[in-house]
Amino acid sequence: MEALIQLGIFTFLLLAGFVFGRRAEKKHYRSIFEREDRFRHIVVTNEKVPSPEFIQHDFTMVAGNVVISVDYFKVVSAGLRSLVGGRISAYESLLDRARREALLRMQEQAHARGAQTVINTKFETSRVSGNAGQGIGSMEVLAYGTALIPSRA
Amino acid sequence: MIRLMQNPRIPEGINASEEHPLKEFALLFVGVALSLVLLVVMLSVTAQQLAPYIPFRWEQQLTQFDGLKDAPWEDLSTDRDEPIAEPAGGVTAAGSTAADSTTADAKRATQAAEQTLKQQAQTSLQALVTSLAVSMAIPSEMSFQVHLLDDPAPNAFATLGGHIFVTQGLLAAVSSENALAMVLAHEMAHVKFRHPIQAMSRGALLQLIITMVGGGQGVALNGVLGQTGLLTLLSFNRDMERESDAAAMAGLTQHYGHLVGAEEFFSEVLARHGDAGWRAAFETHPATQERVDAITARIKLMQTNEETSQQLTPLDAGLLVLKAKSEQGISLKHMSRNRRNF
Repeated sequence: MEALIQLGIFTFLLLAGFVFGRRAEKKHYRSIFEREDRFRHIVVTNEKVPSPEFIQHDFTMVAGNVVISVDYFKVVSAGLRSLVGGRISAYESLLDRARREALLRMQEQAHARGAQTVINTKFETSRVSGNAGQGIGSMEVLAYGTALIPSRA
Repeated sequence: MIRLMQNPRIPEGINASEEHPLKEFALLFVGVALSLVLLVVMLSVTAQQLAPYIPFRWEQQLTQFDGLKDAPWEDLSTDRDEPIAEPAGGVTAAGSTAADSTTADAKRATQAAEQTLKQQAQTSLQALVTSLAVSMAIPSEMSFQVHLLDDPAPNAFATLGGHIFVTQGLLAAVSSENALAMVLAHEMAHVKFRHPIQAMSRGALLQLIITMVGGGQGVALNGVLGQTGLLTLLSFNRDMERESDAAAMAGLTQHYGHLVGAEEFFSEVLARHGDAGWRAAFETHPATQERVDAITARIKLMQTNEETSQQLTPLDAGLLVLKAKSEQGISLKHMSRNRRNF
């Protein structure tokens, strides 16, 4: 009987993880597409040296930071995957979302400063709650770069 | 170099796959579950084959505890209510101290009497088991220890090292020695066929697999694997129960010359709370009805073959007293417990 209850709890968590995780992911992607279109004019590159036309621009660092949590369904899915190997697509979409969201937040910041270009963009990724033992983990992605702002002078 | 005027639109489905996550999950789940089931079945069959070769001596050593005359569960089952600390003599008035000490004395006396009753019952049970062992052709290197548990729910089970546990509720539920002997013989047959060590070996192997597979990887996975394992593998299975029932019937026939009264306890259980119903799928034991039928069929068969005196043997005096005593305290609600081991 106890085993059945445990199984029931597990199934419930799995189902809840799937339903809510999936809904959150879909909603997030919709918002990502929409904002990517909105900030398309703020060009983000990874070149280290600005082209000569920016020589007169002001510059400042902009950063976007995001933390996304794994849901229970993804954890179990990835756990099963880790037994046989292969690409963990459950986590790939999570990372993809986090990276794009971080970029968008950076672009938003650049937009607020009046910039049109961000150069030398870099990413940092780390695990939050990594020391929480076997609890459900979450991940942080930080995107940062140099925003080039047309000088008012 | 041409400067980008707009961020390019990157095609979707490269960094993150657009496949439905359930598809991958189902595929993985089925695959992993199938291979695990295969592995577990293989290992448990191996364990079942090999476990009987473990010397019984080892089993006994496993269940022996140094420095204790008896196993620790004796203490667990017997001490229910320790006497409350006695009032210090000098502090209270002389009269009340005397009254308190008499009640305390009376309490202690009844406890001692109960203890003696239990000892007597346990001795009687032990004697019954010893005489049954001869009829059941138990190998000489095996020995049994019967333990009487305080539990009012009727139950009996056998574990490693020939330890057999009988609850007081079981004594209350039987009216003849034959019925009690059937249950005891059934548990002895488990030990004879080395079922406890087989179940333990399977359980240990399963635990090993779970640890290996889980290996620090998600509690979730561990939990669910463990639970499904426990559901099916840790107790005796139905074949074991049937085998033990058959051996018990043979032993009883040898011992009493007939099987009359053997089915009493199972009939009683059946009458009180029926069969498991939907839970039957998860039960390790054959349906109670099936067991009663098997015994009555045997009785009928034997009645046509030979005519012997088919007298029920009354319970031993040492058991009767405790039975009468425990019957008072037993109400029907205890019969409806889910877990049964006999």
